[in-house]
Formats: sequence, C-alpha cells, structure tokens
Amino acid sequence: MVRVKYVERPDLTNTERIFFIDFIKGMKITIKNFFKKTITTAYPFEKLTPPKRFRGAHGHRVKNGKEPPSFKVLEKFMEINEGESRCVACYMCQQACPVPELFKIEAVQLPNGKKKVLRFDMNLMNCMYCGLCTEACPVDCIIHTDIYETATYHRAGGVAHLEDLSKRAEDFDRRRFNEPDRIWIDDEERSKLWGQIKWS
Amino acid sequence: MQFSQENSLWINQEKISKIKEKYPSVSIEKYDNATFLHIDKSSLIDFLTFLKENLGFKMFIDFTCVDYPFHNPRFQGVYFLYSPEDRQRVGVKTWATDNTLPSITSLWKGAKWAEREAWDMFGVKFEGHENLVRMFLWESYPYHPLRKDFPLEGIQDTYLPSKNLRPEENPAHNYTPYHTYVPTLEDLEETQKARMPNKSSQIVLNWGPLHPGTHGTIWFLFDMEGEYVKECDIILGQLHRGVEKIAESRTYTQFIPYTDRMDYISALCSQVAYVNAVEKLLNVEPPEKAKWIRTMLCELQRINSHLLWLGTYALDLGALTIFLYCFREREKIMDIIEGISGIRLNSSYIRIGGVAKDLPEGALDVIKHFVKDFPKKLQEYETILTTNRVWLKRNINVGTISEEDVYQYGLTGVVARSAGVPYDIRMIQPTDAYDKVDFDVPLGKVGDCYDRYLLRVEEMKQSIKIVAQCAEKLEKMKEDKYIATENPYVLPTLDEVFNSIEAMVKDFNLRIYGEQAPEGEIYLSGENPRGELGFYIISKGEGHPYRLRIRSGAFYNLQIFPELIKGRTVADAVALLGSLDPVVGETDR
Amino acid sequence: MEILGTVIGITIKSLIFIVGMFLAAAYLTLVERKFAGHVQQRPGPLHVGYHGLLQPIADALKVLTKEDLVPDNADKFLFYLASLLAFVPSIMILAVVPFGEPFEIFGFTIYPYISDVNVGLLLALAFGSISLYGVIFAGWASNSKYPMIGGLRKAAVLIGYEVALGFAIAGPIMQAGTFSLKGIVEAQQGLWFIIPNILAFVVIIFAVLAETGRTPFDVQEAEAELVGGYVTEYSAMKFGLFPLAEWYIATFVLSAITVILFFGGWNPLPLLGWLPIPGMVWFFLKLFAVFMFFLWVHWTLPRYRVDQITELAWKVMLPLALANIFIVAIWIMIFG
Repeated sequence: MVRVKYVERPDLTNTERIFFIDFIKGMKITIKNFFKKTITTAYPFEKLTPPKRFRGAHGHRVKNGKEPPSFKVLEKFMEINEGESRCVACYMCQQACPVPELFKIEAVQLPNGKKKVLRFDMNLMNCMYCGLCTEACPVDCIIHTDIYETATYHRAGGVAHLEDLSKRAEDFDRRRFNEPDRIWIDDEERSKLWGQIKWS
Repeated sequence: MQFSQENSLWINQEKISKIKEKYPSVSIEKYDNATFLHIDKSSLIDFLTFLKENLGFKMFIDFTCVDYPFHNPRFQGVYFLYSPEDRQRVGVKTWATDNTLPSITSLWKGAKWAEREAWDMFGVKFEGHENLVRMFLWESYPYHPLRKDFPLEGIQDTYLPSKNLRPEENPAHNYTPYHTYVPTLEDLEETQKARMPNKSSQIVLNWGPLHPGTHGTIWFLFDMEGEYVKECDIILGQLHRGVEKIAESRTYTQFIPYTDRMDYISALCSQVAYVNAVEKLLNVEPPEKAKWIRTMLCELQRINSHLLWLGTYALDLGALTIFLYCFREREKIMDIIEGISGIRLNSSYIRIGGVAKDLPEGALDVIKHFVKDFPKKLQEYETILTTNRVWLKRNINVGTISEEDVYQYGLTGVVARSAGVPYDIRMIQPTDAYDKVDFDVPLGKVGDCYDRYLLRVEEMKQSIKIVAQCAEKLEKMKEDKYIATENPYVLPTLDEVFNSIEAMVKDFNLRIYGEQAPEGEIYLSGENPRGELGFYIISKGEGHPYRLRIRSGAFYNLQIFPELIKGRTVADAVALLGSLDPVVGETDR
Repeated sequence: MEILGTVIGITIKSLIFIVGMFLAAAYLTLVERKFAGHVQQRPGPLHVGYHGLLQPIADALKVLTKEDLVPDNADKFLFYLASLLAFVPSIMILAVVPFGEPFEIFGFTIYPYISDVNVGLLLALAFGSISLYGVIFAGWASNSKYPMIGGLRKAAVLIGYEVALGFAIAGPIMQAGTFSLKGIVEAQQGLWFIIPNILAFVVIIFAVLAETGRTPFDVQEAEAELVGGYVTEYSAMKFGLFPLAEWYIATFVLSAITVILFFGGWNPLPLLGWLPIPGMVWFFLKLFAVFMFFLWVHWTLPRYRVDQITELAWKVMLPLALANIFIVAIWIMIFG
C-alpha cells in the first residue's frame, strides 16, 4: 500500500566535523574499490554477445524448410527458390514502420502468374530499430540479427539490400537459431560486472 | 466498465453543480477519463479565478491548443487544472476568437511557457503576456507548425547536399538534398535579443547550448554581475522534433517508438504512460502479467534514470568517481532491459494490450540478484555523499521551492515532492499494478537541492522494493498470457499470425488502418522519473490521434529555473539545474 | 675559473632537474590516470606499451603536434606569456627543494639539490605566488567569458590560501630556527614536526589542494560550469602546460615541501632507521605517499563553491594557522 513519509535530513555532528570523519568514510570506499577487480570490457578486443532478442541490423530469413505454416499458404503465389529470401512482398513491414519511407520494396508479376521480389532496400540510417517490422512480418522473414556494428563511411553503406539481408540472417541463424531465449548466454563474460548469479 | 466514475480523478458532480449555479452558460463535456467545461472567452479569466479561489483547483497542470481548421473560430484552448485537496482534475475549453486568448499568467506563472508554446506552434496570441516570443523555434520563422495545414515533413526549400557525396551518387532511395530552413546566426542573434529584451548588467553569458553542464542542448542566457546571475532566460528547441505533429500521422502503435525518444533516459516509463492512455481510450485491458511486468520495468527504469541523475549531478558538483559507480549499476539495469526488450535505451517494449515479448528465461534470476546487490551499492554512494560537508554546503538552501511555487508553476515529480506536496501519479491514480504493491512516497520538508537529492535516493530504495515484489509475483505467473490478443484492438503475436489466418487478417487490418479508436478524448498521465508525463489524446474515430498533446514534467519543472537562479552564482546554476533534472528530449519533444 | 665551473655545474644540474621533472610529470599523469581508473574499477590506459606505460609519451607527442590555435581577439602577448608564467614558476620552486643529503659517487660529491639558500622557503612561496599571474593573464588575455571567470576565481582562491599557507609554515620555521629547507630537515632528526604542528599540517593540505586546483577546490576549471575555466581558449602544448604545471609539477613540488616541513624529509621512518635504505629513497617514498594522498582526495570529494572556498580560507584556515603558531610557541617554551 502506498504511504507518504517525510525524509530525514541528516547533518554532521561536531566530532565528525572536527576529525573529518565524513571525508575519511568516503575515502575508505574509494580505496576499497581501488583494490577490487576491474569490471570493464575492453570493447574492440573483447565483445559481449548480445542477447538473442537483441534488435540489431535487419536480416531476411531464407527459404530453408523451417518456414511457418503461413508461408506455405502464401508461397503458392510466389516464385521463391531454396536459399532465397522468404519475402512475399506483402508490404506489412512498411505498413508497420513508423518511418515508412525507409523501405523500398519492388515486386513483379512473372509470366507464369507468380510474384517475385526484385528489390528490398532498407535505409537503416533512418531506422529506429523499434522492431515493429519484425513483429508485422507474417512469414517470419524480416528479423533483427545481433549485428550492432553498422557504421559505414558513406550514406550508401547504410542501405541494406536484399542480398545483404539474406546473408545476414543466414549467418545469424547458423550461429544462434537453436539458442534458447535467455536473457543472455555469456555468463562467463558478464560475471565480471555481475558477479556470480544464482540461476534457478 | 472497469474505469468507473468513482475512482476517477475528474471533477465531481457536486462541484459541477456549484459551477452551474454561478456560470449557467458553462457546458459540460464528459468522457471516461476527462471532463471538460466549455466557457466563453470573455469570461475565461473570471471563471478560472473562480475555479482557483473557490473550488480549490489551484495547481496548474497544462495548457494547449487544438486546431480545427474548418471551425470558426479555428483554435481551441484547453486548460488542465488540479485540486490537490480533493484530488480532482478539470479541463477547461475555450474558443480563441480572432486567434487570441487572454493570458492567464497573472493566475499561474506556469502558463508562461505553455502560452509561448501555443503561440509558437499555433499562432494564437495571448493578451497580457509579458514577453510573447516563440518557445522552440527561432524568431524569424514564418510558420506555425502544429497547424493542420502545415505539412508533416516541413517546407523543404533549402538546398543542403551532403558534403561527401559525389554529384551523380544517390545514397538511398529516400535521400533528398533539400532540407527545411536552417536558422542562420542572425536568426539566432535575433532570438537571443527577443528572449532577454532588457539586459541590465555587464556580461550576458551564453551558457550552452553545447555545454557540459546543461544536460543536453539547453541554451541559457545569464545576465551576470560578477559571478552573480541577475537575470536568466532559457532558449529551448535545439532538440525539438515535433513529436506531437508526428503523432497525428502515425497509428497508435507506430507512435510507441517516438515516446521512447522523448525522455530517452526513462523510455519505458514514457511508453507505459502513453500505452496506458491509449488503452483507456480503446478500452483494452492488459493481462495481469503484463501489468506486473510493466510495473517492474518502470521501476527498474526509474532506478536507472535516478542513477544517471545521481552520477551526473555528482559530476556537476565535482565528485568524479560517483559518476562511474552509478554507471556501473546502471549498466546492470541496461543489461536487464536489453535482455528483456532487445535494446538498451529506447526499448519500445510495451505494446497496446500488453508487452511485446514474454520475459526471457533467467530474467527474474538476474533481477533478483540485482535487487539483492543494489542496496549495498546505494549505501556506498550515500556514505560518500550524504553527510559530506562539501555536499551539504553545495546543496542545502540552494534553490528552495515552496508549496505555492509548486501550484503556480505546475511542478511535478520529485521537485514537487521536495516541497512537501504529495503529488505522485502512482499514488493518486494508480495504473498497472501500482495499487497492488507496497511502497512509500518520500516527501521533503524544505524543498532545496538537498531534499531533492535525498528524495531521489529514497525513491531508488522504494523502487527496488517494488521490483522485488513484482519479481516475486511474476515468479508465480510464468505460464500466463502477456498480451491480450483476444481484444480486437490488440495486434496478434507472431506465433498467432504464423498459425492462423484470422490473426493474419487482423494483423493486416490493424497495421494498415490503425487502431480505430472510438471518438473521444482522454487525459491520462504517468509518473515519469522527471514528473508527470501526461498524454492528452483527441480521437476522431480514425486510426491515428487527431491531436496528441504531451504534458512534459521536465518542461514545467525547468520553467522555475530562471526564478530560482536570480541572485545566485553560476556554480549554483549547475547544482540547481542538476537537481531539477530536465531531459531535453522531453522538454523540447 | 671557479665561478665558470660553478655556473656550468649548476646549469647542468638545473637541466637534469628540469628534464627529470618533465619526465616525472609526464609519468605522474599516468599514475593519476591509473589511480583514477582503478578507483572507478576500470583499468585506465592499457594499450600503449605494457599496461599503458608509453601512454605519456604518446600524449606528449599528440599535444605537441596539435594545431596551435590563438583566438583572433586574444591579447597575443599576454596569451603566450600566460602559459609560461603558469609553468615556469612552479618548476622554479625546484631550485630550492633539496631531495637528500650530499653523497659521494666515484669521488665526486653530489648535492641532490640546486641550491641551499637560507631563505629557501620564502623563495618557494614567492615563486608560488608568481604563478598566480599566469592564471590571471590567461583569463584576461583569452578575451572570452569563461576563461575570465575561471581566472578570477582562481585568483581569489590563491590569494586566500597564500596567506594561510604563509602562516602555516611559520610553525616548522620557528622550531627549526631557519628558512633553509635543508636546515629544517636536519632539525627533524629526532621528532618530526608533524607532532606539534598538526593544525598547520591540515592547513597546508587544504592550501596545496587549493593552489594546485584539485577537488574540492577545482573551481577554476569546474568543467560543468565553466567548460575549461581559464584554459578554455588554449590548445596544443600551450594548453598542455597548464595542467602539467598545476596538477603535476606544483602538486609534486608542494608535496615535497610538505614532506620536508612535517615528515622529516629524508630522515627514515621512526624505528626503521636500521634499514639500509638511502635518505633519498625515503624522501621519494614519503613524497609519493603524499602525492597519492592528494590524488585520493581528488578522486573522492565533490567541489566547493568559490565563495565557500574563500570563506574557508579566511574564516577557518587562517585562524587555524595562527592558532598553530601559538601552540608551537608554547611547545618551544616547554620543550625548548
């Protein structure tokens, strides 16, 4: 239940004032920490593994036999070979996106009546990495990978194309598809900061 | 309906009848979570004085305008007031005939900036305002961007190509070298002169916008006599992104990531406040588990935000080491939030009807470890700071705020509570699981920087208590649903979309047309670490809000700064600004 | 001929001292950064050389090769002069600081000090006061608002603490009966002067912190308020000289004086005199300990406001220093 309470205002006693007890107490803590182990990660040399849920640069899952049932339904209308992006050009990601301009999706009708995705560009420079597109994808195609180093020298490098997206997701799935949905997987590295955690 | 009138925070029938007696012309507009009184412009000041003096609505909450382009008069002013004794809110609406409204700064000083903002954004003039200049934009800017006829992307008339582009290169399909107008130095000089028309002393110190002490990009003007500040004014707007304008063209779900980017230090709290308002508007009830998760994450985020505050505040006052100690603990919370939501800072994890994903495996273990570990660390910081003589000297009796100031300026959050006003949204209007957890709301007695420091530290202790309770509760509801997808307004989860065609169709509909909220209005707020974060949403039955007003706690809290700094030194300005704790993303929006 | 020999000797010795001091100051930056790092549970410089051992060299190269910007509106002469005026006096104090007793190597008698003037302590104080001008000039010549406020703040602080410092060193001088720093050390062979002079010691600690601009007294460049204080407009090596002079050389030299005045200089620790450790090593050990103490304070405490600092100087430190003189006088009357 909520209660209201007034905070106490502590003050220095005279003994503390004369003998600098307040300073000494504080300095005791800093010197104690001086002798503790460092907790930092030397970034470019050591890297923490982001959690599986991490929302990094986007990827396109490819057709590899692990598709959800919804893909089987939509696949009939599409010309997608094994190992190609699952995208069915439903434009749902673009619809869900708060910055829809960043998508550029183009698909054509082939002579056999099926659709083929020709272009799927994402200007990640404008992306907020909010994850709404991945939640909107009905065929488990567009996903977030764990890649967070996306800096490039040119604006053009910030645009992800269809092939980059598929490659990124393939790489991601190869590494982490079977991983459990855990808060993090690298206990060893994280224990530097966290100490020993009692897992249930 | 679960949101009954009894526990509602809005003006009751008794007071309405009193008003009816005195002002028979007043018409009442009632919604589940908002009650508005319509009054004619001519008797507005009189009416507001009556509300303030006789009915106890003495606290100023918010003022904004709404644009109805096809109505004459075009603009409507909306005032929100609060009665601290009766715990009631009221909204007052009035039409701005001839695009002018009487200024209410004589009643509430806190309206000063809100009126300037309305002038800036809508072009509504205020008669009797002491210095009606723009709030966020620069003086010579010709437009009023929140008007409905102003395009969302602005008027892109300035050719400003990227400097490292080859001429034939087009870096992205949506790249354009044309930008909206960028203010020149002359524009800024003019703005500066307009903000401080009567300079009285020798030096005007431009403190900011890029200054390590200003916590972001606030531009302070100090009119100084030696080290003492005689006059002060604040130029905001360096981080103004027009979030309110963006909201008018996004669906309710699409706007969630933008709420993150307002108060980026406490993204989850902003999301929860926004989503709660939308849920009440759509009449969606999230499942129990989602409520507990939200409460837990909100409190973690509050600790996170207060830790950042403590670190930077100590850094501002010269204690360099505390800064990194605080960041050490903050890093842990970041790890938790990253593990749960996927991103450290702007997590956009809360969804209408629940949360985006279930808690991952091991999350509660980590949180429990943190709960056990954190109080010890907090004790360390307190040992270094709380009774340190330097800390006491720098904090005690600096920037004292009285109860009257709180009501006058509409101060909320820790700043209000430091003056002894028990104004905590978690207490007066509990959302989520706040009515089921056990915690104290700390209050100060003096209202100076030291009280605000003590309060924030105490709030961290209370928050960790709440987190512990939530973690315990969540332990028992592992298998429960985390999002109420059965509701027609709630987006289905990925699993449902993959396996059922109905869910897929629902998903398509909601993504394309948005959550078509019933016509109505709502004002609902959440307790952000920086104060009351209120969302005033007007829905016209479309998939996006007609108008979304964000009542930012930091914006109103910052407003008292020029008043408090008068006659104090620059060194105090740092302490004072730190203890008011504005985040520019939220003040500017 | 003898004069020429002395001149050459002293020149060489001065050069050795100055170069040595430069190197020492450079490595003191590393010490500070390592210390600060570990206090904050991070490793500090790590990658240049073994555990960052070459970091100071890299920093020096960086600072020396940076573009040297001078603001258009600055008073150029004073602007250049200021960085020298801040730096030279603090290194000049070295001229009177003895680091040990004369010793003999290969038949040469080596004096580990440049000169043993009989007004050494006064000279040290005088040189310390000159560095005040550097700060004020830097603040004024930059023709900018933050440096000016920073310079004036520092001037106010320095003036306050110079007085307290002057009175605080009176105690040891009274006991030793000489202004010569060497003489003061020799007078402490029995009991260190810290014993009756404890109040003066407190005053000196505060004064050194204030003079060298370390927290809780680093108001002159309180970065949250004044960006960089009086060095805001400086760049490259002209900028580098200020912190080098203030934070390292001045702290180092003033720590040396503190050790000489209160901790018996190169006299061994009590009860440890039998250890085969030369006096100079003792001296540097003590010196290092005092220096680390200042770092430790710096990395723990918050900072005062400038008016509170001057208030402290005039209302607390000055009376304490005077009381110390009184106590020492009684001490001398009783124990001789």
